[in-house]
Order: sequence, then structure tokens, then C-alpha cells
Amino acid sequence: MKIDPVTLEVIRNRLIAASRDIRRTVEHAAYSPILYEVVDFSCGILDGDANLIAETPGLPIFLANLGYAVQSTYETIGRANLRPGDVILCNDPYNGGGTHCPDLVALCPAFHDGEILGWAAFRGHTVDMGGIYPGGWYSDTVEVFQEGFRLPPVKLLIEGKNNDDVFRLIRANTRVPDAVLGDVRAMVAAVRKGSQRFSEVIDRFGVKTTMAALAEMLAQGERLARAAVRRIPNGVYTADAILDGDGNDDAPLDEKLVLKLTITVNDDEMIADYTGTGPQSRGPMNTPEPSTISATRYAFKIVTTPHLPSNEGFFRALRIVIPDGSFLKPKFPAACAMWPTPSSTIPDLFLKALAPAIPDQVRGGYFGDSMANFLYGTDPKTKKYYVCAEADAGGYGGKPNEDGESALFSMTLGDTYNVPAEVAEIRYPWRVDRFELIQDSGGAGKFRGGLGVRREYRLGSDAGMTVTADRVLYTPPWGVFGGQPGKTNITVVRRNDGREERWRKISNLPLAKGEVVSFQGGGGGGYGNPLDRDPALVAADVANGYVSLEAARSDYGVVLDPDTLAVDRTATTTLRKKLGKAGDKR
Amino acid sequence: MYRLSTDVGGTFTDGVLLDEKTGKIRLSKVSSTPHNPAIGTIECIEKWNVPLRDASFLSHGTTVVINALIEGKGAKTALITTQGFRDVLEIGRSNRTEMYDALYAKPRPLVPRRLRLEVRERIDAEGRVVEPLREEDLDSLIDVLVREKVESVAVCLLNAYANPEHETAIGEFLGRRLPGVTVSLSHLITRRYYEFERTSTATQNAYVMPVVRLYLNQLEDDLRKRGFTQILQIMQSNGGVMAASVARDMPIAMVESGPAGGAIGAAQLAKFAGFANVISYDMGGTTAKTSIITGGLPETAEQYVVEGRPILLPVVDLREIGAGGGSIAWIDEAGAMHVGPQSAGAVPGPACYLRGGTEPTVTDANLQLGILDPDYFLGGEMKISKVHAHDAIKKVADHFDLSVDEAALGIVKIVNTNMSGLLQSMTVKRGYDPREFAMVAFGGAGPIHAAAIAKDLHIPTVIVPPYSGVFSAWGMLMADLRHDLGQTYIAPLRSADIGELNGTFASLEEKIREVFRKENIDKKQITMSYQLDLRYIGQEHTLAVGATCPVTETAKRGLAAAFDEMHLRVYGHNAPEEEKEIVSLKVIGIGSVNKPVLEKIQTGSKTPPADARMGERPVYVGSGRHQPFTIYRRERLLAQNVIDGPALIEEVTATTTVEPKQVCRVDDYGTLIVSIHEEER
Repeated sequence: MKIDPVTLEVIRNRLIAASRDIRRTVEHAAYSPILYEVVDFSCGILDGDANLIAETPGLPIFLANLGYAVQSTYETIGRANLRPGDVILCNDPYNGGGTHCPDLVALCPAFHDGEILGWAAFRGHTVDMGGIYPGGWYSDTVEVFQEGFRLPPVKLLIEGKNNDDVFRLIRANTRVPDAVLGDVRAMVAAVRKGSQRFSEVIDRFGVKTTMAALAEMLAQGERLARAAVRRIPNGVYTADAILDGDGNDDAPLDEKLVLKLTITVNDDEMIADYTGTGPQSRGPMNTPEPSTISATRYAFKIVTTPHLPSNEGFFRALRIVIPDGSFLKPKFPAACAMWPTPSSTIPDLFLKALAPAIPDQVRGGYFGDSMANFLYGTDPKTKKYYVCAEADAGGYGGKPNEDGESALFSMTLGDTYNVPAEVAEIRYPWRVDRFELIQDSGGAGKFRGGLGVRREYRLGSDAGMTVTADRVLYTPPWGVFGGQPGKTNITVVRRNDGREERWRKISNLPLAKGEVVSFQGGGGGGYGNPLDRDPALVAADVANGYVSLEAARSDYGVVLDPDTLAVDRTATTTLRKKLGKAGDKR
Repeated sequence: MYRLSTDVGGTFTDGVLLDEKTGKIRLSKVSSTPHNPAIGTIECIEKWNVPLRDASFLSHGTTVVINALIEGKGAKTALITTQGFRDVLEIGRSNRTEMYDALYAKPRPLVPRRLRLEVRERIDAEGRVVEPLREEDLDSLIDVLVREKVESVAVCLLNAYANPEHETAIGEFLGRRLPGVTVSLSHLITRRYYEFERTSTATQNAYVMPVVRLYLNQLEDDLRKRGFTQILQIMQSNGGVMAASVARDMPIAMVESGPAGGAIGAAQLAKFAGFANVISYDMGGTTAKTSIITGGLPETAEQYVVEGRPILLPVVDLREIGAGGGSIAWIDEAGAMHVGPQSAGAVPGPACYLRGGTEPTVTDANLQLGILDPDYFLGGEMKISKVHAHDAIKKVADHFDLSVDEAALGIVKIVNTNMSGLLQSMTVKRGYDPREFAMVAFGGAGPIHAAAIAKDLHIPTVIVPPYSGVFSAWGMLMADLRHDLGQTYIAPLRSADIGELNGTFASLEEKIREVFRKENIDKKQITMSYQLDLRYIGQEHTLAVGATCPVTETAKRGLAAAFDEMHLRVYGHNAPEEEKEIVSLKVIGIGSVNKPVLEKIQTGSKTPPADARMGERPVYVGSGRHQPFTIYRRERLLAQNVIDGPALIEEVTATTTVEPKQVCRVDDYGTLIVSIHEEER
């Protein structure tokens, strides 16, 4: 059946609205900041065969990975055993989840005449699903069994009624049952609403028309993606990065993880091949295959169709090759709590690889990590146990025509909001001492990398902390076309006895009242040779404190009057000549 | 005596004058004077040629604030913050609204980093001074401000919402040392937490303050010279007006004054017509805007965003999409058909305008279908070409192998779906059922599409106001004074100290009364309403529940139940057994202005007068079929006339569609009330 363009557009808009309704419901009714501020979720409408039809932007590295949960549900429960009113819940990284244990997926089928025609789906991060320490995010686990309570796809609601057994199981296996169950309730309400909206479309337009519309939406997505790939010159493009590895700084597991990407552009198809990527880690820095696929789809979307809503059809123009047993396709029961860390680098690696092909559409590297951090303990005022899960911001790379952006969250995160200092001080037992940009953290370039951020907490009571920053040792935020790298990520702890500790990765580090934690997200890499930067821009950067007087001289070859900050043109020309020659020799 | 209102828009400055004795309304429209909007305003008023000393009320809406913000034409502004926090304005919330855009650029701070100055001081979340403010530290700031020739200063200190004493001290210090510089203290605008949003608000307020003061000074001077003796009332984003003297300190409150006027107009009109719950729907050339009115008041949102920068003040909750008469129909690379958000605007405009536009627009489609009359566009003042509309649409039609009529109908259907999606998300978001609402349609294109959208959303009634071309100005004429004050106040509902809670309410109320005194409002005209923002402990977002003051222990239980009920309505679930938390207390003060009595139009019978009937016109209704629609001239209709659809009711600035099976009634004031039959809905 051929569908007319008007009905198609009407149905498309209704389905996009349906997935928006899912998001809105969760956002407002959720309990965990990680859902309503961090937007650590994704939601969408899928067809009966698990193809993503419409999606509302949430966490970009969750892009288009909801289909896996639906497929796992069919395999585990059986398509014939599902009934109208059922709501499915799962989080098992190797069966239905595809990420790590704290991420719960809720699914609600839309039936018509006894057949499943569609699904409303939601994946969201909960604060705690058990596991060795609070928070579900660890640097030193070696098996998934240590990482939390796992649910394969199970019926949370059976024909519209709560399956109390499952609720009780969850309650028994999390450290913060009220918050987690509050979020679960919000998720259930959301997917039921989404499923109802899908059914309304079917009631209104009929099964045949709706199905024809879904098929055409996928076909159109494919055409759009192929047209976009065709605009990238044919060729083979490569890039790699070395990740720091996992374990704790004082007890590393795998010390180097090599991430290798080869992109082949062949007319209207793109192949992303990770051959050459290292074997799965002994620790938790393993990305289950569905999540590697998501991160790759996300990267593909950035370089092809960034401004269009996506569906499964777009990704028919993308082929992905992932070596078995690598840390991008680990085997059960590999630990995978830190799966997002490799995913933080994958999309940036696409930009690095394709820089020669599309120089006007790429930027320098960004700080390359979500800077996830966890603080937990008992609040002395309320006597309640708290788990604070946050991310930190850093700089993005310089762009073809302007400086990089300062203080943005990781590429793995999307429209994620930080926790304001005034909110943190009410919610948690600490004071925020500073929240500021870090001078000289942006990589020098014709267009400078953006600056990283320093956020400091002075603890009002004893606490435990887990931090897991990566991309510190081997591959700092890279510059492109002659730009310099940005400063790397780190967490600094200032002890009560005056000692200062610098941590990349550490799980469950005890901290005492009065101690200060300084989370420091790195900067972005520069774009172009810093010696080509307009000296007036360097002077302005110094006036604004983005760049120090010394760095203006050493990195940009710009000499400024220390009092007036006026550019000394003669001295600058001389210095730049000298630095340029030294650069040539190097 | 007269009541006047003027609404400065981008293209036109609209005015409405009401003779309080007769209830007669007169309109005025002049071109806006963007270089100095006060000139257009005065011209607009002078067209009526009435003595301004006889004006009892003059309300004014203006784009001066929004323009300064959008065009970056505010004052040179500095920002003073707590030590360690000068970058809050630049860090923002660190989110990326365009997450797939590799070259994403976040909104730029209005104050460059070198003018963001830190002071040593600290107040904690409970409002206790942890680190005192020292005046000698402030001295060094003065040098920078003077050297940099700063014109305006924003002050936002951490936790000032809980204790503003340091902000106040800095304000006094600056007033003493730099009397020529305007100062905006964050706590005077809002007592809500969220430091970035509050800083952003104070900064934008300071940024526009000198511009607005200059503007209001001139306007007030010009008005006074012409005999005006009353207080100039300025339309605010929250749907109320404020005295110009108050606006001088809070100019940021007027950022969305024009659209707020439309919402207030819709609320007032619906009241006259006997409806309390209304969706306002304003469709112009480039966008459609909608807001929701319940219990006679527009619903407000807690914050608003201009150019990516948040403003933490209650604003009429307006949603806008790119769907207007000028919206262009286009085909994407994959062969899908879309309408908008790109618009042909006024220039080149729709193809039928003959101003060089060649892209098919919604207006072209309406002309092709027969909804618009080529000989009666703007009352015949403007020539539009059916041939050009046809040719433009043909491009789309040929691509899909459709007839031109069918393609035109498709364009209209798609734009209608976009708009019903917008309206639905507005109602769904708040848990309302559109069936319990009436829709007030205005703007040049609103009344054409209203009936179809209402049908789609099962809205039973469409109301089309008279004067729909100057409806925002009409709304401003009906506006009351309004002041909103909120204070972050975090405590479990059950154990919250009643005395303290009522004390906070009382102090907020007193602050509002103080403003009303400044505005010369009589005590008897003032009504206060009280709200608590509540949530389940552990949640972030809140819902506002109304309360009567003083709150008692018994009343608390009622508040908890009301919250549970609202949570169920809005989100589809609740947890009555869980403890609730108060997040903030809010007081809304309304200084009601005597509502004018409007002039009624002449009453007729059920059958419209013969001279109102302008014959019939075939309108394309799909499946290759045209159907004759009866044409009426709106200004000749009489009260109590009933028109059965299909019909088109034409006036100079708008056309109202009455679809087959729909019935339109004319009320005493000339308002059109279209009923959509149950089986149709």
C-alpha cells in the first residue's frame, strides 16, 4: 500500500508527539536528579518488529538501542505470551539491558486485534540497583555479578495490574528503594501513555495506513542518511585513541585499552570498523555490543544528519564491524559498569578520522569523559543515606571559525543539566567552594579549545567517593590541523592534614569531614596553528583570564604589555617567527 | 473618560480606545518607529484626537526589552558575584540543546569575564552568614567599574535568596559611590534558588535597565505634555500591568508584554462570553502561539528563555511554533512533505502577494481552496493573485502527482496537525482534557484554521473576538495590576512550622502591598492568592497548590490531598502514602481595575440580515469535490444571528471558517461562537 504524503506527515508528527509525551511524564514525575537533571534516559516508539520509529532526544549514547530490549523481550518471554496492559522491565546488560545494571528499561506494547503493532519504550538510569558499592558505577569490578541486581525482561505489570513480586524484589535489592521505585512508577506511567498514543494513531488511521506510514518513514530515513553519506568524499579514514584502562590508580587492572576506528565511505554507505581494538578488559571498562552500536549510530548521526529526527531507517546506511571479545563486544559475564567511558571517545574519534574529508564540519577533540562522580554517606542532619551521582563539564575543541565551547558536559550526555550549587547545598551535607573555569586549560590554536571546569566541595561529614576519569595518560584532548591538546581531567582531594591527592580512578575512597574534593574537567583541543591566531583575540583572552600572560607568550607567541595588555606588534612578530622555526624543526 | 492601550509590535503599533460612558471602542494602527518606539506610541494616540487629561487608564505594551536582548543593544553591564562563582553565568547548566551538532555554540554571557567581579563573602543555605562582607573589599571594585565605564551592575550572590543582606549592602554601597549607574539585585527580582537562573535574570535586568529608563522617561514626558495625569501602566509577561515607576526597576518583567496581552484578552473575552477555561490560539504570518486559561487567569510558567538565557520570573505560559500564514510547504531530500517552520514572512510573502514570493505557503493554499477571497483580502485593499498561488502549489502537487487542490488541502492539513500537536502538548502537559476548554482564535490566520483544529482535539467551542487584528492591545485594556512574589522555602509539609510559614507568606504579601501603594492602588481593589509548590520528598519538579492564608494544621492535610490529586491528573500516577515537601511559597497580588462595560451590538433575529449575506463560494473539501460555502460580512451581522456551516465569515483582517455541520452564533458583543457538534468531534 502506498501512503499519501499528507497522511504520512500527520502520522509522523503524532508519533513524535507520543515519544515526547513519554519524556515529559518521566521528567516531571521522576525522583532521581539523574533522570530529571542529567537526562540520563532515552525514549521512543518502536514498531512491532523492534524498529525505532520515533525518538525524543535524551542521552545521545542511548540512541537507537531500545530495539535490543524489545528483541530480548521476545526471546525471553515470547511474543505470544505478551498481553495488552503488560509492562516489561529489564536491566540485564547481557539480556535486554545492553548497558549496565543501573539502567532500567520499561516497555509497553500496543496491541491491535491480538497483535503487537508497536512499543513505547523508556530507558533511564536509576541511582542504585545494588552492587558492590552505591551508585552502580565502579572502576574495579571484574564480573557483572558484582555490579548489581539483574532483571532479564520480566512482567512488571500483568495486564494492567502491578506484579507485586517484582516490586518487592527491586525494593529488596537497592539501597534507596523509595527513589528507585518512585522512578519506576514514573517510567511505567510514561510508557503506558506512549503506548496509548500509538494505539490512538492506529484507531484513527487504521492498521493498514499506519503500517504503510511506518514503513515509509523508515524508507525515507534511509534515503536521507544515504544522501548525507554521499556528500562525504569516498575514502578510508582512520583514527585511534588509547584509553587509560580500569581498576584503581593504586591497583590497575588493564592499563591500556587501544580503541581503533577505520571508517570507509563508499558512495552512499559508511562502514565503521573497530578491528584492531584491544581485547575485553579484566575490569569494568567493557561496552556491551548494543551500546557500542548506539555510540556508533550517534557518531554517524553527528557527521551525517545532525538536525533530523532519526529512526531505524537512517542506520541502514551504516555498517558496523566489532571484533568479538574486544572491550566493545565483551562476553558474559564481563564487568561493564564503566561502559560509557569507551563510548565517550567513539563519537569524537569519528570527527578526528573524518577531519581531512570534512574539515569545515569538525572541531578539535573534547575532554573525552563524562567525569562521573559519586559521593555517598549518611546525612548528619536527616540521618538518611544519600547517593549523589553527578557528572562534570569540560571544554570542547576549537571550531573551523570560532573558539571551542567551555564548560559543556560530555558528548555521551546530551541536554543534561548540572546540579546548581544552591541545590547541592540544600540536598547534600557539603558546601560548594568554587565553580569556575580553569585558566589555560583550553588547547592553543588559531581557534582555541574551550576551558574546563573546577568544582569544589567542602565536606560537612564523612563520605565515600568513586571517580573514574579517563583519557588522562595517553591521549589528551587532541588538537586538529596544528592545534594543541587541551588539559586533561583529574580529581584532586585536599586532606585535612594538608596532603593533596590526585585521582583518575578510585572506587569507594573514604573522605573525612572538612576535606575538599576538586573535580576538574579538562579542556578542548585547538583548531589550527596557534601562531595564526589573531593577537587581538589573544589579548582579549588574557584580559578575560582565559589565557595567562605566560601562555600567551609561550603557546601563541603573543607579547603583551603586562599592565595595559596591549599587543607588542614587533616583539610578537619576532617571537612568532622564532616559534614557527622551532615548530618546523620539531 | 477614556481607557487607552497601545501595543508596540515589530511592524505596527496598535491602539484601542474605549469610551467609558458609551462603551464604544475605537482602534488605531500606525507603523512602529523602532529607532524610538515612543514616537509611534504617541502617533497612535494622537490619531484619536482625544484630550489625554480625560484618560483614566493607559496601558502600554512594548518590545523595547525583548529587542534590546535579541539585538544585544543593552547597556555595558558588570556582574558582582560571590568569590569562586563569577563563571556561573558562563558555565550555565553545561547542557547542549543541540546534542548532535558538532559545532554547537552555547548562548554567550551578556557580561564578559573581565567585568564579572568577585567579592569575599558567604551565606549558607540556611541564610547564615559564614563569611562577612567587608566594605573595604568593595572599594577595589569601584576602580574597575569606573575605568571600564560600566553603565549598569547586576549583583547575584550565592544563597541570597535565603538571606539578601549582603546584596542589599552592596546595592547601598554602589548607590552611594556610583549614583549614575543602575543596579539590579537578584533578590529583588526573585527569591528563588538556582544561582545560574537568578544570575541570568539579574544580569538581563541590569542590561536593559538604562535603555528602559530612558524610554519610559521620554514616553511619560510626552504623555504629560499632552495632559496625561494618571499612572502609565506597563504590560508585564505575567499577564498583569505594573506602574511605570515599578517597571523602571524591573524592566525584565515586561519582556513578553505583547503576547501576554493576547492571553489576557482571551481570558477576558471568554469571561464576557461565559467560559472560564480557554485555550488561546493566535496564528499570524510566521508563528502560532498558544496559552491556557483556567478559572479566568492565564497559566504561568516559572521561567522563560530569551536567546537561550533564562529569566526566572512568572510568565504567561506561551508556546510557539513556526506555523503561520506565511509558512512554506517544502519537500525534503527523502521526498517527505513538510510545512514550516520556514516562513515567507511579509516580504517576499506568500506567492499570491505578488511581492516576488514563489514558494507555496499556507495562505496560498487557503486561497487555492477558496477559503480566502482574492477580491476581499484586507477588505479589498490588497490585491492577491490566485494564479500565482496555484502555480506555487503546483510544484508540490506535481512532485506527488496530486491535483493542485489536493496539494493545497494537504498543506492545510499538515499545518493544522502541527498546531493541534502544539495545543495538545500544552493541555496534556498539565493533565487537562481539551474537551473541557473553549478555544479563542485570533491573529490574521487563527480564525481560518480554528474550526478544524478544534474538531481534531474534540474542543467543543471556538470563540472569535471582534477586533481580532488588534487583540493584544484590546487585552491590555482589560488587564489588572499583578505582582508575583515567590520565596524558596524547603520543609516537609507535615512538620513545617505553621507560624514561620504564615510569617513568610505575610512578608511576601507585605512586599506586594508596598508595591501597590507605590502604584496608588486602593486596598479594596487588592486580592491576594497564595500557593505552595509541593513535591514528594526526593522529587525535583513541583506542582503549585492553592492555599488560603493563614494556613492551619488541618489545612495542611487538605493541601497534601490536593497535591496527590493534581499529581494523578498531571502525571497519571501518585503516591498518597509518601511524605510531601514544600519547596517554595508564592503570593500573587491582583490590583483589579474596574472593568469597562462594552458596547453591545444591535440585536437581530436568528436569521442574519440579508445584506450580510454575500453569496456563495465553492471550497475544495477533498476527494475531488467542491462544496458551496455561504459568505457573510462580519460587521453586518447582528447579535443572536445563527449561521449554519459550511460558511465563511469575512472581515477586513480575518476570515472565520464554519465547517459543514458546525453552527456559529453571534453574541451581544459581536463575538462569534462556533459550536462543533458532538458527532463531529
